[in-house]
Amino acid sequence: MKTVLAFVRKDSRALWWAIALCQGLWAALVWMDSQRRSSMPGMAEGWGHIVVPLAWVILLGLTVLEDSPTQRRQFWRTTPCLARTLLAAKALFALCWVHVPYLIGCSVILWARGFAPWEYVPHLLWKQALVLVAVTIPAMAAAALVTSVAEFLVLGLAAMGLLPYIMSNLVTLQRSPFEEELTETAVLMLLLTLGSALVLLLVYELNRAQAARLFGAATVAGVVVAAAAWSLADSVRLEDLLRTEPLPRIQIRAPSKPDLTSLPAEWKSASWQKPGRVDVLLPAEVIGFQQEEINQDFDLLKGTIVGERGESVEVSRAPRYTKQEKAGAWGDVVGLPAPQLSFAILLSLPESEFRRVRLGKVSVEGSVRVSSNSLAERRLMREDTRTWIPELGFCSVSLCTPFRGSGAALERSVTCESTKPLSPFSEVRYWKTEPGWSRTKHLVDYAASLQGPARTWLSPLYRVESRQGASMHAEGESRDWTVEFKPSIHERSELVRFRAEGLYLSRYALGVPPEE
Amino acid sequence: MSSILKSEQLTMRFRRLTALDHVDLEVPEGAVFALTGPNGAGKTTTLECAMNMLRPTSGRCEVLGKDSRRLGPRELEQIGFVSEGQKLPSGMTVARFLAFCQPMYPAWSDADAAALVKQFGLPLDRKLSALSRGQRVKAMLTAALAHRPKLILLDEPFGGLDVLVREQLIRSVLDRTPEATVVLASHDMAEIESFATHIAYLEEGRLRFCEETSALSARFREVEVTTDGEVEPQSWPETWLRVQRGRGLVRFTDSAWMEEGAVERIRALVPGAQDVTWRGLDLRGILLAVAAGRQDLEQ
Repeated sequence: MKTVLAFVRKDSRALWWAIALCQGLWAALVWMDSQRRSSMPGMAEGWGHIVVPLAWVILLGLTVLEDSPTQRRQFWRTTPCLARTLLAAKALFALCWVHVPYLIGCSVILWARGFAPWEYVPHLLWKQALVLVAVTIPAMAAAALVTSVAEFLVLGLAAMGLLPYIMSNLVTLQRSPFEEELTETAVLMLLLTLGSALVLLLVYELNRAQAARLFGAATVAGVVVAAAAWSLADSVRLEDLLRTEPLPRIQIRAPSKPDLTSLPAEWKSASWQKPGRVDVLLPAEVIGFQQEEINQDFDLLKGTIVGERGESVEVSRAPRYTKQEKAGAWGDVVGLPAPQLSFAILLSLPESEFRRVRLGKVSVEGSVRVSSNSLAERRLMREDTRTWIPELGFCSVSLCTPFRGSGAALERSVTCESTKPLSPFSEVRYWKTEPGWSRTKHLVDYAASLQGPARTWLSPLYRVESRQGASMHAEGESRDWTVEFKPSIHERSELVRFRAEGLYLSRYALGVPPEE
Repeated sequence: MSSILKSEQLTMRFRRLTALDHVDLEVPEGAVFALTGPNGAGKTTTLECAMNMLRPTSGRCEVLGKDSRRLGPRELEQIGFVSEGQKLPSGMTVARFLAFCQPMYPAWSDADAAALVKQFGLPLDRKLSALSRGQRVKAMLTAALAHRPKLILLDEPFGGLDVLVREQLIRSVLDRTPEATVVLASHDMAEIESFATHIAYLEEGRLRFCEETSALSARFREVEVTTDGEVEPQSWPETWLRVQRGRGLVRFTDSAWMEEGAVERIRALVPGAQDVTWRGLDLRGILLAVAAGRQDLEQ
């Protein structure tokens, strides 16, 4: 232990400037995050979430290179210090100057936002694990493979190309409500971390620098290949493999001849208007839950259309993952609002295909995550206000009423920061209390929830933005709205695999020619 | 006498370059062992293999009775290593550097360290990076000697230093650790000559000889033979090195000198031999002769 402390002291003295820089950057980020009035981060804060991890990576790289394990003429090699002792010293350094400040910073943010940090210890530890996996271990492994700071920086610059991907995965890992997406990200991060850990083992324990370099390169290549080749089907297979309990008994009922008239006219017309697109309408009903308490997130695995004359179209040979509110390469699943409680599938087909197959049957395989939720207490908020709500933290609401008169659009967004991932709000009502204003009910959500920006991944708070649009009749002009909303907090969430068949109608079948 | 450092068929290859080629070396305990040879002979590689800084391609090296690849803190606590190319924590002051080393060695003596600092005149508050080359070596030696090592490995530590400093440093190594075994890798004969009890000579990764200095001096003689005419080139005995022929003169270095019957043997081998004279060689002369080998030099 004495030796470990001696190395930590030495590194801390040698790298005091880098430590000071990192602490300063992190403190600034914590200050910005905890003092911000708006729930959306500004540009400086957004950059902070990129710059701070980079600064940590460089700090960790520098400390590893202070006593490079691959340079044979390093002083430490001639002392009674085992390589594993040295690794312990570097790990302690990372703990002291990266993880502990990070823990303190996260606690400060929680405290400033009105959360008691000690009530969120598991959450804070999860954040620590995330930084360990995404920053500490890979940075130390990369630095252990090179022999100079210059080489490390070159390696870092090369890795910068992967930064957007890594950041988006980190965000997914901490707040995606989609299990399959989480599985994919977790698998990739696990690969990278395991590879990095083995690199450290090879270098520090077995003194095999060359083998470690080869292994490190193979790990990165493996992660890239896995990321490119991984499909939703792989996630599903993996989940099924790891699942110990049987899938719940929830059914999807899909009528073979759906009643299209039940679909909202606005939605239908909007979907037809998308250029270069063929719509397959497959209203299906999820049963087994109470209708009022249901939320559905869909994944598509596979789709086939069989026409009247037996002509068949594989919607996608390599099905791409799509989910609610996120357009994929070939299709969307759109949950329909109450009272339908069903979903519709929109598929994009090449022009040649939808000319060929005009009418037929479509069969779709996929999964749906069905959640029930309990409704939190109602809160009244005013526009552009920032209000503390139990379990949700500070929430802000903004309303946009750009048009006047009949049929004007209205957009509302609610942004909350919380210590747990939030699902979309189940209901929002808004009204103007002055005489002459009577519209209180929204007609349709066209977007349910957006995850927070990727660059805020260091924050201990989850951020959810819920946007809703409505067609409503509005007269007059005022920005002073009163908003009432009910956040939905999921209590029950189950994954259902479904196979559904329905009617396929192209525009040709309905006599609507595709737009040129 | 047991050996404190031993290599068996030690081979080290860097891709196509063979730095060490089946080297068998034995350093007796208590010896002052000089490992010498021209630049690139494999001296540093040998010491780096011994310190487990390099993993041998084949063969093995044993240090303090343990395979060098398995050297642990217990063995390393007994070794002092100073190398010309060592990468020190250069941002540290001398005082911090010594304080950094202190907890790693149970046998560390603050008194010894202080005495060495005083003896070498080291500026404690100056950073290692700001020290002169000589001062840096002194700082390294202080760290290497203050824990009273059993084995001291010095890899060309005094190269480029002036004679006075070099002498001071060598003396301090020998005086402070009379019980220790010292292995000094150097291509500087003057550095070695005065104190080495054993000497090994490496050339292109191969060990040419390894023996006690006194035995080495005893078997090398420079011999001069006057002849009554020009001597034609011929195959001389293998033990004759650096043979030089001139008009009425043959000069060579005999690497297996035996004084008894020497004149008769030489007369029998050199046609027209008249007078035979010989003299002892200093270490430099011996190594030059070994390096030149059996080449026949025209005068």
